Amino acid sequence: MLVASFQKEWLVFRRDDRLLWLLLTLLVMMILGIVSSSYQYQHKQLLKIQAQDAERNRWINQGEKNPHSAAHYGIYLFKPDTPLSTIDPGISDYLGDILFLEAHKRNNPAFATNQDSIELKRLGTLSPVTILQLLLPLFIILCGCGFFSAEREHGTLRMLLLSGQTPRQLFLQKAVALFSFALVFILLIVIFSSMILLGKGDIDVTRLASIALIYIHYFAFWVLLTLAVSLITKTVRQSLTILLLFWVLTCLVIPKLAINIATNTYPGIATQEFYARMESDVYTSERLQAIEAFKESTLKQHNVSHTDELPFNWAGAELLFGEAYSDKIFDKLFGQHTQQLQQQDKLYQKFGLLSPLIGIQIMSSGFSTTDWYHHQLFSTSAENHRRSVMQKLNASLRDHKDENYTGDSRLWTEIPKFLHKYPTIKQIIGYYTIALFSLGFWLLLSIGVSVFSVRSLSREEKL
Amino acid sequence: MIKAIFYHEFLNIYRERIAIIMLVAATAFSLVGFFNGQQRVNEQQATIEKIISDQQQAVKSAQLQMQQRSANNSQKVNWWDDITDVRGYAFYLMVDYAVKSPSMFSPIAIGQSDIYPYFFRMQVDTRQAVLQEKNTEHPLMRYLGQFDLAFFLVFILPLLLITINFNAVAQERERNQLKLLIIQGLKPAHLLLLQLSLRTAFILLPILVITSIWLTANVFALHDGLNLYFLIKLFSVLLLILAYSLFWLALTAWCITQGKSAAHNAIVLVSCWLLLVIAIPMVSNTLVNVVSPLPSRITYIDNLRTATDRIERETEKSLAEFFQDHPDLAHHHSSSSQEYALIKIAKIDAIEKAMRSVDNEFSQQLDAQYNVANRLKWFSPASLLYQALISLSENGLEQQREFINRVESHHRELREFFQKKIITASERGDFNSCETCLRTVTFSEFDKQPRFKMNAPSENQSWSLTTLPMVKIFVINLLLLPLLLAAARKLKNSEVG
Repeated sequence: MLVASFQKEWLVFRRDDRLLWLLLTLLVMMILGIVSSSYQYQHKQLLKIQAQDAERNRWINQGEKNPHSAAHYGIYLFKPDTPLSTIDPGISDYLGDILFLEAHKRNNPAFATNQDSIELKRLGTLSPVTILQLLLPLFIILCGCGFFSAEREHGTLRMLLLSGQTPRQLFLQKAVALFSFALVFILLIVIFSSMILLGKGDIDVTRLASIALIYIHYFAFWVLLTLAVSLITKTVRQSLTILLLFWVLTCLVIPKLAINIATNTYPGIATQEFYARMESDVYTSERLQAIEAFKESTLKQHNVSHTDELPFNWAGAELLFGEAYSDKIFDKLFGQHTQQLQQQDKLYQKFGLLSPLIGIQIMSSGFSTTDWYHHQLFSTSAENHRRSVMQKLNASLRDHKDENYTGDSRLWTEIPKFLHKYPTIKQIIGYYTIALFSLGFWLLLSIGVSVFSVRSLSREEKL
Repeated sequence: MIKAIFYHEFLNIYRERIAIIMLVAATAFSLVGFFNGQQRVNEQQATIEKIISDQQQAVKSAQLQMQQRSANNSQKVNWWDDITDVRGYAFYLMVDYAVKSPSMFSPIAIGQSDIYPYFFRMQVDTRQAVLQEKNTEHPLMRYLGQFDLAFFLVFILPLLLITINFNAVAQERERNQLKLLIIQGLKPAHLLLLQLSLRTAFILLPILVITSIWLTANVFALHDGLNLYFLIKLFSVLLLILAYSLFWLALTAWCITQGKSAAHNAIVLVSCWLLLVIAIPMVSNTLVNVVSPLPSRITYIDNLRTATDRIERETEKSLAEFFQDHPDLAHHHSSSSQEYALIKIAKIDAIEKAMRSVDNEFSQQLDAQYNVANRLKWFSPASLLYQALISLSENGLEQQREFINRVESHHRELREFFQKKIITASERGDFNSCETCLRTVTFSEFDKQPRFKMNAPSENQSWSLTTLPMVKIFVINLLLLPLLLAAARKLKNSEVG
C-alpha cells in the first residue's frame, strides 16, 4: 500500500509541471552550489598551503639576527579549513583567515574575504546549505500545502477516507512521499561531497554523518508541519498563507532580529575602544614599575648591583618578564571580549526555540567547523603558539650574555611549525546543547501537531 | 456599479482577516526595519563622536604635556614615548582619525556599512598597515545582516503582495460569481484593477507613510532640515517602492489572466518570487565569483612579505632611492644614514612603491568583479532595487571607495608633512643620543597638523546619487510593459470569463 501510495504521489507530482520544474531547478542549483563551493575550497586550500610553506621558508632563512628582531619579524599563519566547509561555509567569509604573530602584541585574525565583496553579495550566494536550509523547506511547503486542503476543497478527501485507509495511514503515506523528495538532496550532498573530496583531505566521517542526521531531522519537521497545517486548514489559500508566513518569520525575520537582540543584550567592546585599550592597558606606569621591581628583585637575588653583573643577559630576562606581563593584560581584554561574544552566541542559540532555522544553522556550521566557536579555538591555539615562540626566542637571548649574540637557522628551526587540529564532535557537542535541544523541540512539536491534526480528521470522518 | 463593487470588495477584505494581518505586518516590518537601520546609524554616529572627542582630548593632553615639559626640564623619556619628539609622535603617539559619517538616508539600507570600515587611525606607516579592516562585532551579525527597510522591501514585500492578491478574480471564478458580475455589466479588467489596487493599498500605504515621516523627522532632528536635495531623494525612494510593487502587481495580473485556480496562481507567483528574488541573485553572485573571482588576500600578504624582506636587506639602497624620489628633501639629509627614523620613512616609501603594481592589480580585479555584477544585476528587479536603495543611503561600494581614496590622500599628506619635519630635525642634529642631555622639542604644532575632512559630495555627485536610481526605476517599469500588455489583451478577449 505504501509503495502504491508513493507511486500515485509521484505520478501526480510528475504531471504537475510547475513542481517538477521547481525540483529540477533546485537540483541544478544544488549541484552548482556543491561544485562552486568545492572549487573555491580547493583553490583556497592550495593558496594557503603554498603561502604557509613560503612563510616557513622565510622564517628558517631569515638569516642571522638578534632573536628579538626575529620576534618582531614575526610569523603569518593561515587558518586551516576542513573539507566539510564545502557543504556549509558558515560565517567563514566574515572571519579573518590570516593571523600575524609578533612580539608584544596579540592580533586578531584579519582579512576576511567579505571585506572586499560587492554589495549585491548580501542577496546571497549559492551554497549547498542555502538550498538545504532555506529553499528546500519552501519547496516542501509548495508541494505539500495542497496535499489535504486541496482534496478537502474539491470534496475528494471523504472519498479517500472511504477507500478503507485510516487517517493515520493516509497521513504517513503522504509524509513518506514528501520526505523522499527531501531525502534526494541529502543523499546528493553526501555522495557528491564524498566523491569530490575523497583524497583531498581529512574528512571527519562522524561530522559528515552528524550533518546528514540533523538535516534529516530538519526536513522531517518541515514535512510533518506542512502536512499537519494542510490537514487542519479548509482551503489551499489558508494553508499556503500560514505556512509561508511561518517560513518568512522563522527563516528570514527571526534570525536577523535574534542576533540583533543578542548583541544589544550583551553589548561587546566597541572596535575603536578595544584597539585603543590594547595599547593603553599594556603600556602603563604600572608596567614600568613592575619591570623596575622585577629588576630590583633579580639584582637582589643574584647579589649584584648592576645588570651587567648578572650571569645572564638582562635584556632577554626583561623581555621575558615584559611579555608575561602583557600576556596577562591580553588575557583579561581578550577574555572579556570572548566572553561577551560567547554570551551573544548562546543567546542566539536560545532563539532556536523560536526558529528551527537557527538551530540547524548553528549545528550545521558547528559540525562543518565554520562557526565562531571553532574560529575561537583556532585563535586560542595560535596565541598559545605565539607565546611559546616568544618565550623560546627571549630565553635564547637571555641565555647568551654576549651583546652581539645573533640567532641563526638552527634556532629558527627549533620553533615548531604551527599545526591546528579541530576537535572531535564528542569534545564540542556540549557547546551546542541548546541548539540540539531546539531542533528536538521543533520535531516533537511537529509530531504533536500532526497527531492532533490526524485525530481531528478521524473525528471528521466519524461525522 | 464600480462604486458598489468597491464598497463590497472593501467589506470582503475587512471581513477576511488576511488583509488586516497584511496591514499589521507591513506596518510592523517597516517600523522594525527603520528602527534597526536607525539604531545602526546611531551607533556609528556615537563612535564617530567618541573618536572626534578622543582626538580633541589628545591635542589638549599633548599641549599640556608640552607645558609641563617646559616647566620641568629634568625629566627624560624615551623618544618613542615622547610626544614632543616628531618621530615618537608621527610613528606611534599621534591620535588622528579619518571617519565617514552616515548620511541622512542611511537608515533605509545598511548595505555593507557594517562590513566596510568607516574609520581609520592614521599614523606615519605603510598604507597597508593603516588601511586594515578591524571589527570586534560578532561575525554572525555581519553574516545574517540587518533587518532594515531595504531587506523588507526586497524580500518580504513581494510575498505580502502575492499573498493578498493571488486569488483576485480567481476566487470569484471558483465560486461561479464572475459570470454573474459580467452579466451585470462589470468588465473583468475593472474588477481585477479594483481588487489589486484596493488590496495593495492595505500594504503600500503604511510603508509609504512611515518612510516619509521617518526620513523627514530624521532630517529635521539630525541634519539641517528640508532642502531640495532631500526632497528629490525622498521622492526617489517612494517611487522606487511604487515601481517595485507595480512590477509584482503586473506579474500577479498576468498570472491571474491565465484563468487558472487560485492555488495554481499562488504556486506560480511564489515560484517567480523564488526565481527573481532568491535564485537569480544567488546564481549571479556565484557567476561573478567564477567569472571574476575576488583577488586573494593570501597572495597579497605573500607578496607583501617578499617585498618587505627585500627592502629590509637593501636598507642603504632604499634610503638612496627615497632621496632620489624626494630631491626637495635631499639637501636636508646628512650622511647619518644610521638614523632609525630616516630608515623607517625610506622603507615605508619603498614598500609602497614595491606594492604599487600588486595594489593596482588588486584594484583592477575588484573593479572587474564590480563590472560583471553590475551587468548581471539587470536580470533581477530585486538586485536593481537593492542596489538603488544602497546608492541612495550612500552605504555602497562606490561611496566606500571614495572614502578610501580620501583617506589615502590624507595619509599621503600626513606622511609628507612629517617626513619633512623628521629630515629637517635629523639634519639639525636634534635627535641627539646623549645619555645625560635633554632631547630637543622637535614637534609642538599639535593643532596645526593636517586633519581629515570628509567633504560633502560635490553637486555632480549628489545629483548622480538621485538620477541613477531614477534610471533604475524606469527600467523596472519597462519590464512591466510586456506583462501588462499580455494581461490587457487577455482580458479584452474576455478569456477570464
